Amino acid sequence: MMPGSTYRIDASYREEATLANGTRVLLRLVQPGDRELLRRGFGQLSDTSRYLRFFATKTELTEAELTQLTELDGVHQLALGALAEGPDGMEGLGIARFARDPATPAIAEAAVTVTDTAQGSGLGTLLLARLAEAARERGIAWFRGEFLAENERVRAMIAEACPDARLVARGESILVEVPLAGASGPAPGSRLLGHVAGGRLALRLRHLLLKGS
Amino acid sequence: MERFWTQHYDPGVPADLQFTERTLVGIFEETCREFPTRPAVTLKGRTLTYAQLREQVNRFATALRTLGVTTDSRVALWMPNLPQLVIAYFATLKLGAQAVGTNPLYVEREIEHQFNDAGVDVVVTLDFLWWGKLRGVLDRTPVKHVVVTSIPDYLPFPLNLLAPLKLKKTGQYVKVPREPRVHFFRELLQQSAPDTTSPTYGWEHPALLLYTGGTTGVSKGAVLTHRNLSCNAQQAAAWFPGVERGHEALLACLPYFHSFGNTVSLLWPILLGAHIVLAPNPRDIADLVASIRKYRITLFPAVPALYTGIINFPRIERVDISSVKYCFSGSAPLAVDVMSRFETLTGGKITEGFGLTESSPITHVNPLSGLRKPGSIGIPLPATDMKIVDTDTGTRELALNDEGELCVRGPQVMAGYWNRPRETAEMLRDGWLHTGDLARVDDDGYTFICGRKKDLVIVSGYNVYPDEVDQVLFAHPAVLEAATLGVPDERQGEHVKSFVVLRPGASASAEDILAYCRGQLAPYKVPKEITFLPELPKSAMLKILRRELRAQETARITAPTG
Repeated sequence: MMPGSTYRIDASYREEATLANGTRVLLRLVQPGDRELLRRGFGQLSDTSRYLRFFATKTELTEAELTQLTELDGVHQLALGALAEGPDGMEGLGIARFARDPATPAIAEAAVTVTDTAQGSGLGTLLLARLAEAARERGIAWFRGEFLAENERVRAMIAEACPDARLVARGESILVEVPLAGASGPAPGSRLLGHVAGGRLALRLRHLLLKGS
Repeated sequence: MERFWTQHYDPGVPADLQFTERTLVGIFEETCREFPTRPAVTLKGRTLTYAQLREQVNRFATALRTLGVTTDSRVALWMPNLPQLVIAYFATLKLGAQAVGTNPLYVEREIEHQFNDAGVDVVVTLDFLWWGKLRGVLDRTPVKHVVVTSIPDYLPFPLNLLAPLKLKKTGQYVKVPREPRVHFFRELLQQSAPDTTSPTYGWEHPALLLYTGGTTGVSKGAVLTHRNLSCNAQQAAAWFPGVERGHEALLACLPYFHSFGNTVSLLWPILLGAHIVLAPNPRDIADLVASIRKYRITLFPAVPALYTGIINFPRIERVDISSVKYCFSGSAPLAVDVMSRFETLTGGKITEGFGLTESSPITHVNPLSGLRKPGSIGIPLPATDMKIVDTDTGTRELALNDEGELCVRGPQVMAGYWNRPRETAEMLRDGWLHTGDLARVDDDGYTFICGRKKDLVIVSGYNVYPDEVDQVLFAHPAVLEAATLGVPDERQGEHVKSFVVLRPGASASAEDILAYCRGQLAPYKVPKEITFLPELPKSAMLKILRRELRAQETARITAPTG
């Protein structure tokens, strides 16, 4: 924690973890200087992973997008990256990020991306757990996300992490809203989860937080 | 779900079906033995009887064997509905090799992908397709031999002499020079003795690879076994108890490289010992009408656009098309007034069906004389189960009238995707085919399609995966971003529309981009419209919001004009 910071997960946050496949990773917040790291990480994603993440074919990240993805205020927008030692220095294996809904500050849109080589190692779940903790510290009570209905991997991850999460199909995509551990009451104006018992979901996420640490 | 819908089957349609365990070659052989002198295939007035067809199939089987084709070979059949295709199809199956259906409209990029993905060893194709498309990419594929034929090869005299002059003008005839690895269909038949061996494989053996799109624009091959296809043809036959074996004539205007045409316009009539009248150019409505009249066509499977074309044909009421008994409509909903008018004109019955490439394809059909429900795809065929599952988990079975993903199970469901275990596992779960179609089942068991789980555009019955179009657009140097979707189209059901963001400083007109697409995509996949945008709508996580584009498009279409 930085002097004066009220958050455990802030710019000074560093955490080392060992993934299920034995890879050692360093977790830290994404910074403006990470543009190249991000660009290279994007290059590591298969066409399928890019499609599932961006809902469309995407061949590159534009400069404007790199700015949007790296220049974050750390309160309303935050991204957590996982780095590992590669043959050419540190390389990004995954990123989890949220952006607070300006109209409903207790809700943030969240997304997790893991490079193809690191998928299935538990990294996505770990990043999501830490992201949830960072969000909770910042007064965010709910995560909202959207994934393509054909994205079986994310579907499985949600089923494991939040078996009671409320999912609503929207044609080719599925909307999901999950209350974060320790959240106080339902999210104001939540379209999906107003009537879901938050306690059980909170327990599951708490379980995840413990599992990942 | 119990098969409670069988109560709505027409009289004579069995609630369950005991299948005869015959491979497609077994079906073909039996029909040829039973009806040797019956007309089997006719093209523009030239007919092969079943005995003649069998002899040519056996000769071509010998030729393919000489080219090294075995049970572990793939033979791509790349041409429209011609006698050569039927001959090559059954010759390929006779050797236990897998036929690969290839759309004649495919361009180089598409055939290169398909031939590599399938591991195609031999291609049987037309002269102009070899010369204009395949020759340039051959060395980038595993293809070892190309067998070339020409449209006039099976035309009657003197049409066979006159046709090249006309076909040359439209680029559909090229005199191909001799070169290594290129063989000529007619010569191979003349040089080869009939193969008299019998297949040794069982009916679980793979017969056909039909390609269908995937998430990231990479199409994948659905592996259909002899059992899948044999059962689907038997299921189709069971649905029409009034059809008489050895007495029917079918107009084959649905393409054989497509699963619908393959089953209802090739396998079903072969099973029936029917006379197949080939219509390689189904857009020629005058030819269709003339064929119905001349050959006293009794079975006419088609798509809505063709039924519409026939009822609007000039002075159709003066043409005797009353021979038509049964029609099978698929690929898009058939308007009630079109159905009614066609039935009045012919005195026949149209039934609408539904299916997927992955299910050979037919799973659902409306009864011929029983309860019909407008907008419904009908009820499952005999020996076919269905259920609706929730789209959240894909595991919870929903109650009647609830909307979810349609899942089907039956002997017609594919073995899997060719060399793609992950995609197979996603599509086939515990024997159920997860169709990706959102549907509900009413109290009578009639199924209504409500939408699609996967982004897919269906243009005149052909699947177009938006991402394949997007990938082509992205390869254009001026394109920064693209998003493609389907737009309602009165004639084609849907058409392709793309939204494009140009790179800063780059310029390109819609026509520039469309011209580029035409070189990379089969015509039905090429966008009909291009709209330029300063940026695509995206979420805070930079996800492209196609639904917003779709909503804008819907608002544009429904906005009052004037």
